[in-house]
Amino acid sequence: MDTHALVRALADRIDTDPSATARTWAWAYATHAVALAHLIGADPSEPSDATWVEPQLAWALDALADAGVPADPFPIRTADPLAPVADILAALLHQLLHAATTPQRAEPPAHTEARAYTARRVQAALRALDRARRR
Amino acid sequence: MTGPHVTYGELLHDARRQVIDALASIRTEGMSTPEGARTVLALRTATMVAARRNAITALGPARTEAVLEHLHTSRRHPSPAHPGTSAVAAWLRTLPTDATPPDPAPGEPTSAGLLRRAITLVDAASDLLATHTDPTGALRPIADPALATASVGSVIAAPARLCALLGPTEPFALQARTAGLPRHEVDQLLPLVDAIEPATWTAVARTGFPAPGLDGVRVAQPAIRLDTPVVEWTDRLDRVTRRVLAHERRGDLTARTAADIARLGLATARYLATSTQAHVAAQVTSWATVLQQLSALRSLTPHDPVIRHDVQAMVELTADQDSHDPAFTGALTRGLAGIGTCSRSVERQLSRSTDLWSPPVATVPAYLQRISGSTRHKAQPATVRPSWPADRGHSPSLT
Repeated sequence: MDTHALVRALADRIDTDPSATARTWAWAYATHAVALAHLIGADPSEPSDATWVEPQLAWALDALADAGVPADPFPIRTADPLAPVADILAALLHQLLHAATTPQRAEPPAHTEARAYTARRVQAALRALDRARRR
Repeated sequence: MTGPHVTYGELLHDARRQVIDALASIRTEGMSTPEGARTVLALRTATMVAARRNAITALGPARTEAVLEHLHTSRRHPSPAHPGTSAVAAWLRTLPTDATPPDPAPGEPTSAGLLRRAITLVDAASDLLATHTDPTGALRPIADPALATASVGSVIAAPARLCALLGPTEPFALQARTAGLPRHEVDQLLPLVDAIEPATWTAVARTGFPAPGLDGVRVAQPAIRLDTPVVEWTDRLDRVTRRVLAHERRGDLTARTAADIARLGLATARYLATSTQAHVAAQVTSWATVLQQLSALRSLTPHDPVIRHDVQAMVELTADQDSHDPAFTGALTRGLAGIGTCSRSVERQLSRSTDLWSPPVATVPAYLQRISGSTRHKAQPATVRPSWPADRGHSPSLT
């Protein structure tokens, strides 16, 4: 499964939810799962971009959970390990950023704050990926 | 006198010198004109306002309120138990509270310029003390201990000395009349029954003429220095280590904080493994395994926000660095020992934790276990104990 197919499969599942808050959590969960899986399986002597992304997503998920955002874990089939993880993560992070910054009507302030925090974590992760790519 | 090494005592000593020189100038040169006299008298009041502000800053809002409240209660129920506190409160009430220094004007007396410098120095001393407090006036954790332990008398001793110099009204009144200021204005600006001088001497006498207690206080140093990435990373690791050990003393570590420590270990080990410390690769695998196990756990207690903030900054610092930067590589290599201290402490806490660490149940969509209405079970600590890096006690040598 290449990057595009993975993102399409996840989008088919996640983007049907009308709630931007729920979509935020789901994309964060999926991205974190991919990053963590890569960290576990990557060669320890090789650089891994997932090192800088996994923490940001974990902290975002904690913030969403603390805000009371409903969570619904689902199984995720990670992408083909031959695909560059930086490309996969970048694609997923952009989906997450879109969900986190989409306005949600009648959203509790705690959820709004948690999604804003998630957006900041995503931007930090994207900056780290960009710096790694330019090195 | 400027710079981070100047002390509170030096600033107020210099302010006193300016006041002494101003008084000498008033005696020898006078106040020249009525306008000059008005300026000098206004600056005299402004200096005492600054001294009062300095005393209140040094006492802090809580102690100031307690001192002033004591004045109320002692009036209703006189008690000889705390004569010093009553006298200090009376002194604070006697001092002027509001005065706007007049703008500098050409031809004003020399003493006016000296008093302006005194006000600047006193305000600088107040600002120095303010670096030790947060916006509510409470002492910060990095505050100088003298601010918390010095007695009320020793705290107000330095500003009281300034007020004792400026308190006597006769020299000012005499020179103001000589300069041509009308008598009614002199009486208005320098009342015959001015109580500042006696109240000042009463306050310091009742507190036992203490030596100033804050003379050695300097500008508060930040807990985390941001000079260079190496310094910042090292300071943050020191703070993380202290807080992890504090959690061990209190017994309140959470799975989330343990995971943050694992992330720090993983990021550090991977940076080193991909630079010049290839033998650290085994630690990378260990940390990744620990993180995988901890990621599945949740605890009811929130994470430590300071540790998380520090780990966040350290991970981002590491992501920013070139993997072959020798200075940063050296700092991280030395830092492995500190991370090892954290991991050993966390492992000790995991082994005796009685927190509700429940792995998520697949049939129940619950990302975080809630207190009521959820399926939960208490996991035996041994069953969820992760295997921390085996050679965590070994700090690779710089080769």
